[in-house]
Amino acid sequence: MEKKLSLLKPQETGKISKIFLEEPKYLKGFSLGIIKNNQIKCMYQSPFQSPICYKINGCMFSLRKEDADDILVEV
Amino acid sequence: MKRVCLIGNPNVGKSSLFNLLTKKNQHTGNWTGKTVENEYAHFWANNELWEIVDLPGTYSLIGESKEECIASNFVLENHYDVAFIVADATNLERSMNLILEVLDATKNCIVILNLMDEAKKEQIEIDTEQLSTLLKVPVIETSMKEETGMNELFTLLNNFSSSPITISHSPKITHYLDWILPKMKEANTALAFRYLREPNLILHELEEKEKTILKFYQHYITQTEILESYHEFGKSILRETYSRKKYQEKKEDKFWNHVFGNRFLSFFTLFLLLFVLLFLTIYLSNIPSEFLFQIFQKLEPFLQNLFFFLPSSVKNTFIYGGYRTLYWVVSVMLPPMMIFFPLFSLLEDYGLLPRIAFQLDYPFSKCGSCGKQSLTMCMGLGCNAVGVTGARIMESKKMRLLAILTNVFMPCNGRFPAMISMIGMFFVKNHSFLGSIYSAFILVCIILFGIFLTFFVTYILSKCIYKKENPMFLLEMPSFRRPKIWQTIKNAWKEKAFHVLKRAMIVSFPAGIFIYLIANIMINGSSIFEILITIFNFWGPFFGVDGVILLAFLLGLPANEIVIPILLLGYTRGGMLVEYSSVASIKAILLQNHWTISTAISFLILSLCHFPCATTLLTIKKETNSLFYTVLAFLIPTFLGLFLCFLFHLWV
Repeated sequence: MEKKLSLLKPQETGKISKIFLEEPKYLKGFSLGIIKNNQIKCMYQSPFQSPICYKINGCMFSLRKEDADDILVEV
Repeated sequence: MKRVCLIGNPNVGKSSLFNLLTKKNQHTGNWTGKTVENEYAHFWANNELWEIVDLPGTYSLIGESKEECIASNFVLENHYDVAFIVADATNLERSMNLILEVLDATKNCIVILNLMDEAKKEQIEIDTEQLSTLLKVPVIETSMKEETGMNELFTLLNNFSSSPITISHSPKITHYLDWILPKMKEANTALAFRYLREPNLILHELEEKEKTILKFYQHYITQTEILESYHEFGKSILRETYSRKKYQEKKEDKFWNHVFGNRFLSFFTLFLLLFVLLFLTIYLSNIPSEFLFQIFQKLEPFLQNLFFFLPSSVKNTFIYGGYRTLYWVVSVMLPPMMIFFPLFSLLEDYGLLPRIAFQLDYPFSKCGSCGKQSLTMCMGLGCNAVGVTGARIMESKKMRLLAILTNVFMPCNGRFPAMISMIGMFFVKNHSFLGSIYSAFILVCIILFGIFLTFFVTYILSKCIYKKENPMFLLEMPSFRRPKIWQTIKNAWKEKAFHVLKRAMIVSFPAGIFIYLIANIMINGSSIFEILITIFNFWGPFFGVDGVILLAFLLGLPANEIVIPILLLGYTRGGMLVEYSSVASIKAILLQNHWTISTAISFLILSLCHFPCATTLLTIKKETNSLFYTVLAFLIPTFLGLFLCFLFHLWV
């Protein structure tokens, strides 16, 4: 099932299937591993729901909710 | 002299390698963006002097962000003999793109796989020899923590062989490269990609028709495609050389993930850490502070005797003006700094700072900034000038400006010893354990108030500077790394504490002499100081303070540390009347001059909220390159502080 990355619950894992981020954002994401077919895991949310902490290839980073909305994952 | 440069992803240990090679103590931290400027130093290897350049961390040479431009300019300009590409052995997937991009620019590289100790713990298998064969450059394994691999690095430096690698790109890009490379003086793929971004570099060498073709390629090939092309090639290399077993989370990380995943626990933890940090600073610095006071006081008669040959007016100027101000600054500032800086560095090296930025991103985004501003605020807690420079990590120009203009609301180390002693005199009865807890609590409240003001001013300013933008907040959360405790403490003392202290001492001695002189040179029967005070006394009552306080803040412009000594010199008319040897006697002086608790509160408001010191202002001028914003940075906190005092005075 395909869904928005932002809807992934903590401890859930998915495979990135589509990325709708535009160029500067896409490039930044790319360098941190937001690449099609990579496994991504949701770690935890901040107290205000955004940003959210994710993990790819054993490294953690945070992403705001509105940016996570533009990424689709296969669960 | 030969030169090497250090290039690599953020937070892979470039600065640690830099320190290890040069025996320097440049401060490192476990977070992205710690190094914002190229650092230069020298080291000896095999009887040869080398210059080494530490570049800011970057993920790619292709992008357009500031650090990417600095790094790519440096790499392409080719002013070095060897490039060290520092890669993260625990996450080679991420470092691979940069390695390939640099290899496309120059063949004189050594790839350094750092963090090998952690990679071994995580059971990652790396076939270094195969990697070296495929990349056609030497590859060595190192660990900065265990200091291994350095000997191999030194041996390699003088005689290493490498040959240019041919990276196979996607058909589209190959097409472009086949067209442009023959036209370049020196065929260089990295430079060819650069022309897509900055065609002006080569346009003058091209004919009309070729210019049109280049323009076409500019639209045809996007940066994304170049990156993806590198990524594909990197993947094929990694498949042969790099394998990781299923990733196991460290216990420590698991624990912290739990803490920061919890809504209440996370804020409580941060609050508690700030509290404990300040409590330890206050509690532990009481005793050495008194001790230093007494030593300096005992030295005073000795100095009197030593300079017996000087006329008494000159001697008094030096001793009552310069020496007393100096010793006040040293005894009040040195102990808290010796405790605060190392503790803070430990937290920083452990990897806590990005978590703070993560927690605070949402409120900051509502104010038109982003969570990284809290990192600049943390730096400001040490020194505002450092915080202003640190604002370079902000994503956009506007946010950077917001961070620069509001940094002064974080009390720096020059100010909070004064705050601590003020709290100690007026709000706490004794310096016992409980008393320290109480003062730490008050100080935390003051800092929270400073944070509130930061939010408030950021919000107002972001409405004024109209520019709609929404850059990505992509912040790395490094895994927690146990810092080398003793080394961190030593570095913090050497680099930070003594640096700040030196500055304070350089300013305080002449400032003390200056104040003493204006307090004792008479014009028509009253001293210059008294005339100034009369002027300021007119304005003081509006804000619930007296003229001496306002004058002290104004004269404290060169360095905030000297505000209290000026205050005391002002009240004692040159320090002749009373010896201010301890906190109790200082309080007596203040009480004689009609200080009450509300005066103390006004003083605290003003010291939290007034113009930044001269060094910070100069840094702001340098960073923003605009006189307007420098003046703004001066006026905003000043007016806000005076306004708050005015309100407080009305209320009282």
